Amino acid sequence: MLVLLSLLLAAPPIPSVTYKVSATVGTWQPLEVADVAKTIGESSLEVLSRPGLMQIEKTPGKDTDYLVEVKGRLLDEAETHTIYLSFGPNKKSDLPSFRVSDTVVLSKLDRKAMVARIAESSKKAAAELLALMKPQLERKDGVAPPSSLPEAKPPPWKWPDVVIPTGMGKGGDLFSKSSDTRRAALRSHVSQTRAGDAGSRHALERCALDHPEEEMRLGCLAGLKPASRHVGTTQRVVVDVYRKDKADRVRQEADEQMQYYSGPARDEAIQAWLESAAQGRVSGVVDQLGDVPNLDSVIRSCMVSAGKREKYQRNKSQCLELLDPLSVARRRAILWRFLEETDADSPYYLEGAGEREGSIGTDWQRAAEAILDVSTSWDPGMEEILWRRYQRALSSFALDALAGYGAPSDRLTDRLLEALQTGGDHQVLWGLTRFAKKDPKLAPKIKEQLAMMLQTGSYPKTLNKRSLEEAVKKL
Amino acid sequence: MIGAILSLLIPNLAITAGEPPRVRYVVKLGKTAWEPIALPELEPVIEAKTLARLTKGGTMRIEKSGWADLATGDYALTIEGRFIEDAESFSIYLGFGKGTRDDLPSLHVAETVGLQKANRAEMEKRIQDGTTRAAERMAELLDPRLEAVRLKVPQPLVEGELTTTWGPVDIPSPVSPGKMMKQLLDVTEPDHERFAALASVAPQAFDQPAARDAIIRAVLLDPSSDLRGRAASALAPVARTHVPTQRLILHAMRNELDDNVLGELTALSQTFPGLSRKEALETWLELVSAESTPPSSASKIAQLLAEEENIPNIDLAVARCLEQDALMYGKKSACAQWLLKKVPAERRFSVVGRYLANVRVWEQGEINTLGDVFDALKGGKDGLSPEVAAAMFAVAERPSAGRARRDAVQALSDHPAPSAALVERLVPLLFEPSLTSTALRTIEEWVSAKPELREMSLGAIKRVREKSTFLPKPSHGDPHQDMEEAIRRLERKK
Repeated sequence: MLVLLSLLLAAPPIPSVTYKVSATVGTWQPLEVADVAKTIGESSLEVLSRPGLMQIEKTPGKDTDYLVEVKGRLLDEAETHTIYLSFGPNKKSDLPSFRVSDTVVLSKLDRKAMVARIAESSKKAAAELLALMKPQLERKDGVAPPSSLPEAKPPPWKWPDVVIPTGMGKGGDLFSKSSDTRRAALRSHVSQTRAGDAGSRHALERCALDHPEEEMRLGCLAGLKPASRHVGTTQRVVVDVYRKDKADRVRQEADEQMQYYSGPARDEAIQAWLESAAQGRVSGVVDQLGDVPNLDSVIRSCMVSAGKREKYQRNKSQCLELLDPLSVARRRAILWRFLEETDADSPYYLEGAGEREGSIGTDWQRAAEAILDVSTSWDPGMEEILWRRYQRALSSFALDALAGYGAPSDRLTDRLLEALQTGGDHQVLWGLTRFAKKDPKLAPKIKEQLAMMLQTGSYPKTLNKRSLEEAVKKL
Repeated sequence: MIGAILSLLIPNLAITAGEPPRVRYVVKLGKTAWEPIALPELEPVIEAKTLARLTKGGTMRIEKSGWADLATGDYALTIEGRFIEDAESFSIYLGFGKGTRDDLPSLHVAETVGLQKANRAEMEKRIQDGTTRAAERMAELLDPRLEAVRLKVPQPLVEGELTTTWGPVDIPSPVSPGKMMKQLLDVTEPDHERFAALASVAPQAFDQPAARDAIIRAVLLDPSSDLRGRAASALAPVARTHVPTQRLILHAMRNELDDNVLGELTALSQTFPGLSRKEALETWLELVSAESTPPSSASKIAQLLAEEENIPNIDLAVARCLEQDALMYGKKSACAQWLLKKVPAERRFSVVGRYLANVRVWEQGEINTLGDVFDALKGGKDGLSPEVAAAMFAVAERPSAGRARRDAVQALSDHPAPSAALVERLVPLLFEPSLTSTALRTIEEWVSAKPELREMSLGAIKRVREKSTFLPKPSHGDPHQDMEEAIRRLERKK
């Protein structure tokens, strides 16, 4: 009985989670929107609530720890239903957010079969989300250990197949061998699409996805701009182009169009941007999204992808900029593996510039600062990483961080004295006087060593003798 | 009913209900060349349908009026309508605005119904149904606001709903087009051929319907944005007075995405008089707040609107604009920078309340928008209003608000009634290194305004200093140092 009581007392409180369900439909409405919302809400809840990991609150406006959102979308023309499930911060933001999706085709099904298929898809997506959330929610210490982020895997997001109805409209052959014919057809299809002709729109969509000529893909995509503001299937095509096209100009056009999306289309655009970021290609729009689902694993994948490029193209700064909304625990979980890496050929290695770091800023410096700037206590593990980096690469930032952020201790004092005697860094001298002021027990040792250096002249002459004398005098 | 709901939502409120406000109204149908139903017959029908719905909730006392004494009631209501020739449609416009009271937003609702191929009875039915729909939307907007006035409680937060239904639009085809008109409309022709055709057709736009129709068609459908822009400017002579062309120009504006073409079309719409001007203003508001409008055009249109006085629906448009999903840089700044300040200060919180409840600030565009919103909410000599202060606290305490938190903590230094309970509420933020220094400054401001808070503030800061651990940041300040200095300053005030 006592054991049970002590276990209960030791157990962390069950997190509270707001459960929000919504559904959207277009002109194709084989089911009532309320029925879709009910089906996806209940089916997902059945799976998510099974392990008893969270207190689920269905009333909106309650001040809960986290938010689970369930969104459904019936898409015209494609005749599909997509479920989007996400777990993210509400009052608390200490855990990574996750998002999963699943799409099912509903064409030619009766009402009952549609509901059954949507329910099945919802349960499948909920099970995937649960698998991602469970290890995070089961943690007992409340702080992610450095190694807790799983190894980079493909994002938990199932992209639906983009199916474009057959038929080319009346605008002519966009794939003609004659350049003049192709261009005339392009003008014609763009005009017809502006008039609302679905056949021409489909022709442009197919061209944007499949045309072998970059210029034509770009022209067709630009011609889809008006439709892509509000037609769900076109929005999917544009997102698909962004994901798959190899040409920068084409992706850029798709990127711009996606920045105007709203509702579920915006969610899909965000996942496409995150997928691209995970491959090391970060759109400028991602850093305004804040703490979005799947962000933690995306940043990690982004850094690994960048690390696999040619030596001179391994810059990870765009990936590191995405850390801004994350708590220190989540930053540690992502960055620790990279900070520890000392093999310069490893994809995890963070490039630095040794003694020049202070003047130019490097990935290594940015990553270390991303943790140090939001930490509220000195981490001995971080001290080891910084010291190792200084020893191996004479990292100027590592030394500055040890001197500037470090907590006074015997061991760190010895290390800084060694660095001072061999490197002659003024920041280190400042750090040692800070240590002596903060912990008077260390002052005699520091004073003695500095005096010895003065007397013997055994220090690099980059260090000003007068600075040394003043430091000794102060101590 | 609404009063009962409000009293449930605000349980401790001592509701001193007054009389429903007096609303004076006029009815006016505009004369046009095409009038399939005589206006004197239609006017009472429209009046009855509108008032039946607007008075249903018991939120207003209605009095018929002329234009001269319309503004002598608490508020004014206009019921207007007109037939649109060529398009064969009827539009109903309901407007609500200030009378002797100026505490509610001006609102405008419009509905257009197509009358093509309908007999007289069917036409009248469609017009009645359209009027009822418009009245329904106006009642949904007005009832909670008028009831709040009667009960003397704060206005509800504004939701950015759209109030105008534009009705179906048929793109005209020129009847018996000439060779050059055909060439203009044949988009398989190279651009330079179509430009040449436009130059030839443009001078005929004023007095030849076929030329006018060909040009408006080019404005709407040509694949070249340069040509669409040139065609739009060719419509200038006819756009001043021809209502169906004005309608199509507004339709083109709502569907155009090119900045230059939108610029040309906007310039045309500035010349519209009468009811078309109302429609132009509504279109401008719709564009400013729509996700699809390019930021540069939205900004230009917002500047035009900022020159207007008493714009109906501006509250709804700004709320809609601030809550939009689009991520394009600068999309919200047009309304925050130019339009929010056009909303009277006492109504601004109800417009931005929902934006503040969900704001997430992580980049410069949103930082700028938030700065404009905070500027607009700043109180005068009395500081922030209580509801603004409560919203700022909520932003400061919500991690997902991102960089907005520090601005909110800073804005709270203008709190209208600092208290010990508020200091206690701010204390947890002192533990967050990025907020420590700003929160300390806010507490010091509160102590300056209310010296009796000094002792407990001093105690609270000392407690945090003992309990907290911070890393000293060589280049970003030291929160402990900041606390030491704040303690010294507060002790000096003894």
